[in-house]
Amino acid sequence: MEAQSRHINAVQVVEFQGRLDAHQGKQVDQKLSEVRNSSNQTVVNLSKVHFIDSTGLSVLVKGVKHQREQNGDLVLCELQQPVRIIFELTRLDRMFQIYSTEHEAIQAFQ
Amino acid sequence: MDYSFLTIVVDLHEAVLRELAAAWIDTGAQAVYITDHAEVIISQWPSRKMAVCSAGSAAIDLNGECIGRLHLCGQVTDAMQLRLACDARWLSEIVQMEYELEKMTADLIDQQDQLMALHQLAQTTRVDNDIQQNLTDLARIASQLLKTEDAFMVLQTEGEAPLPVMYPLRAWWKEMWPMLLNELAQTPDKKQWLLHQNDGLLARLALPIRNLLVKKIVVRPGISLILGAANKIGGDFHAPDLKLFSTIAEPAGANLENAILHREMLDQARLQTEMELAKQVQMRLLPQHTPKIPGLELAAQSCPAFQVGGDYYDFILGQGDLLTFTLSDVSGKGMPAALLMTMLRTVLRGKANEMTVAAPEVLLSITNESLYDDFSEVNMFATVFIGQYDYAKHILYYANDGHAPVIYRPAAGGAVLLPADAPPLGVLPISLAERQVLAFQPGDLLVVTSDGFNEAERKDEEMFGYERLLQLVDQLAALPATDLMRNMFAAIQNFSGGHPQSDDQTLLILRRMEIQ
Repeated sequence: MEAQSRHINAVQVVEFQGRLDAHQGKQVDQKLSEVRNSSNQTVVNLSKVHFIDSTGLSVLVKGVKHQREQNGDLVLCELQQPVRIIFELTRLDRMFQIYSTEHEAIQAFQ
Repeated sequence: MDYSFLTIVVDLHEAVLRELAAAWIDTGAQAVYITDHAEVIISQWPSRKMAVCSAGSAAIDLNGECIGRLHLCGQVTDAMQLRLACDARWLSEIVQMEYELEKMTADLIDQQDQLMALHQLAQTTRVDNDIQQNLTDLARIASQLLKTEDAFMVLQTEGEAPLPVMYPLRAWWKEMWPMLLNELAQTPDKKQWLLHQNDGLLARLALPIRNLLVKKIVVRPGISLILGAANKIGGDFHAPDLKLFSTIAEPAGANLENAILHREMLDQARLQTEMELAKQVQMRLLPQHTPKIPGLELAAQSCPAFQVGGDYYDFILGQGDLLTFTLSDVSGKGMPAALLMTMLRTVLRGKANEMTVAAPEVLLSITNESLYDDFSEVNMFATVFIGQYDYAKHILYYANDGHAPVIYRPAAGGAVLLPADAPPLGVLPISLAERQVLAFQPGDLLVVTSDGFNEAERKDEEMFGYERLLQLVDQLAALPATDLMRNMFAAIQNFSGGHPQSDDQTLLILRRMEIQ
């Protein structure tokens, strides 16, 4: 699992690549824990993620729960169509703030 | 140089030397005697009581060094001096030979000791002992063979806490062993072993240790063993101790590896047995038969990817004309998912049994309330579909916490997905699911599967997907429910083409019969 993170103002942007599934769950969780330590505002850019399964979803759910407990948030952006469908079918789109672009997602924290 | 060695040789060969002295006395010498390197008399003839005064002497050598002298008393002629030098050389030869013999014997004894050590190790290190017992046995043998007051072993396994043992167990060991290891870790590790005798490190440790011999061996990658022997009885460690220590260490490591392998095999076998039992328990928790409901066709089956899984389906015949059924999928796989699945089952069944009217959204809400904290604690969730079918009125009430795919195929039309209206159970503190109502006509079909169906993959990672699933239901819709189920599993298997199943696959079918 490739992951890149960057700081934009007080917001930590994380960009994953590939599949967010049971095999990558641990690494994704570690990466999200790392960025949580430096900011309570996380943007997860999923533009390069073409598949997500229930383990991947549960790691993101853990992330959003944690950030909200810290009075922050974890928001998502740039979902590919198959990933967007998963969020819609599981209605996790009601749990997460989802934005079309990274810029919008960062703006949401301003 | 061992100067006392001449005394030993003189004692050993006393009879021959007495004859030699007698021959000298017969040919005119008053007395013969031998002194050591400090000119102290070792032996003299004819009697030790007689005062002697050297009139001539010759050196007795060992390894080219003078270790004593052979003396004559009385008148000594040149010829006698020559003969005396010859006798001294002869005596030197005997001393040299005895010395070589002694050395060979010592080596033999060393080798014997080492063979004994190997034998004892083989006898003691048994695979059926636990690792701690093996380590204790090794420490005991090391202390016996090396003749030390103390010995210790520390097994270091990557990612695990070290396992330290000491023989005999001293009061300071429990508190002090980490410091001891830490100090040793600072020492350059270029040699095969580390030897400390009355040095700075021992002074710094301030432990009752006079001298210390330590060796670290790699049992296998990721596992190493530190062997230590401390407080040599009667003095310091010498070269033979180091040799013996090395002889003990290598087979100790090999035997320990065997014991570790044996333990791992046992653990593996135990785990497999437990998993098999868990599988049987979980399969027994699923309905053993589908209920017989007038006017309804039912079929369901679950096929976990591993021995146990997080998928769950159930039929609960409550009070009145109500059939409650559910299909849920706990996030993740294997044992963690299976544990939560059993919790979910218990709560759902308990609540469903109490219900007299259809209220699936209430069932989800109560279940979410009961399990939210536990699910949050372990960062997992479950997608749950709950249907309550009133088989007198043929109305399906359902609520859905994030579960997909749920496929509805009316007799008059094509298959469609029934979307969930709330996130999965365990995600939010309250369930947002609402009650949905669907009047079931004759021939109407409901197919609920877990995502193991739509996410089934071919070798090229292409997934079966929702579209194919809907088409499949349309193609097979005319079949009786059990045949439909069998064919759907077969279609998924056929699509995967031998690609291993990575997720649990569960299917539940409900159809209102055509002919009443």
